[in-house]
Amino acid sequence: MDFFSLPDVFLRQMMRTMEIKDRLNMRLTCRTFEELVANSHAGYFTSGRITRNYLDTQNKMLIQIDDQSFDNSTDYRSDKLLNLRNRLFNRITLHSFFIDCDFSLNFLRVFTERFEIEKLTLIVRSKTALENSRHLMSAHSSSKCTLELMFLPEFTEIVALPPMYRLSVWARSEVRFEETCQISTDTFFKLLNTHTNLYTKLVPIKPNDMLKTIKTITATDVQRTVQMLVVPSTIVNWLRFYGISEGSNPARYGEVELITPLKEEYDGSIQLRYRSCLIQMDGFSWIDSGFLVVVSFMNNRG
Amino acid sequence: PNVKLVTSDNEEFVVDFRIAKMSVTVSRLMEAMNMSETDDASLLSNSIPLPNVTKAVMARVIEWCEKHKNDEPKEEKENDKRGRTTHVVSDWDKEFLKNDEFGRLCQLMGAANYLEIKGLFNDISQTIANMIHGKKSDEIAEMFNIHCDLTEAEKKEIRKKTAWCED
Repeated sequence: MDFFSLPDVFLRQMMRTMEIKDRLNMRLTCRTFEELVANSHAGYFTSGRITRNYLDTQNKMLIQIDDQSFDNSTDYRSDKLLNLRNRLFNRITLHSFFIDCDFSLNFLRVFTERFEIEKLTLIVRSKTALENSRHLMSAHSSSKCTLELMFLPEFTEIVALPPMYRLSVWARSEVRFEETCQISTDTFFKLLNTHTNLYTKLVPIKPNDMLKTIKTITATDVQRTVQMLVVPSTIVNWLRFYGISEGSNPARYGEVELITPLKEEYDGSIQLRYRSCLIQMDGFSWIDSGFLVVVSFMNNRG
Repeated sequence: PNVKLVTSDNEEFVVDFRIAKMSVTVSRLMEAMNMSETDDASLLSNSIPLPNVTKAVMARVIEWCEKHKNDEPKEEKENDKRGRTTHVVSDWDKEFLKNDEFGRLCQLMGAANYLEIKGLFNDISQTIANMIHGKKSDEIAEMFNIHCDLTEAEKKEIRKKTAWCED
């Protein structure tokens, strides 16, 4: 039986089930296999990334598809990487893919142009990378996009970001590394109105902004998660406004339902519900401990 | 109710209606011939000709279908793009296919393709992919009786270009 006389539909299906490593080996078998590898869909992979290899002292580029690493041990040459991709598959589907947007936009765009990505995460550390991320989001418009902001752009830049599945602002203060960077309340509400899911560092909100946040999140039936850091006094004052205090038991307090009160001082977790929104507060203490509280609002998440 | 299937070598197989319906091709033919589950006369008076399947291969296909007739229908995404990660060959299917040498697997695959029985087709694809998994190029060539038409210089060039992506 001649392998290559098998129906095309079968060969293509089989190629979709191959591991990347096997595709590399198949290339060396014969010219027809070499062509088959290059001109077939690689199938569906769980995850991949184009990031810097932080284990490497020179922070070289690391490309990974599932457990296969394409670690460029000599030098970063985009033509070499593009040539390899061209000879390994003509299309590929990935459940999730991470891109460090610090690399050249042209390379990132061309390298991923044959990628069908369900969840695209873009890591942004600079102004140039932010610009790159906008182009990549546009090029992968059917993907659920997440932007991981590792620096804090200007107000006009951050509020001009296109609506996306998830925006995470993980920026740290430029003054003191260990100091948490904060975004203004005004910026926070603009982002809240634009993006489905939002994760931020410190937001200097006031107790009445808590309700404004919840009302914005619950305005539609869309599943949303919003997470931010809040100073403890804001939380304490907001809870006291509803009559919830240290000794409160699980019950309804006006529009707020206390589901899980703070059990022990060291536990630090309290759970509430406001209509369809579950509110989880971690690192909470009735006495100001100096630590920020992680507040997560989850709308329609069960 | 039963359905009669006739192979290329004129062998008649009488199978349960549910098994016949597992093949998209047979389903379409039954529909075209106005054969319905509730009309015994239509089933008794007609047989489905399957000119691309031999008796030996049909027996194997029916054995596979018998085993899988109660399976829940799998959610298939567009272009079966989830195939690589979710299509796991079950232990029974591994056992069913393990003694088939490549030529017989191809015949079975040809029947699965013609009869449009996606589950069997995917099982065989994955089984052949598993046969290739972890093998070196010369082992793959030997397994499929492939003559390597790449020159040593070409092989060297391919190796050189991909050396940096080896583990």
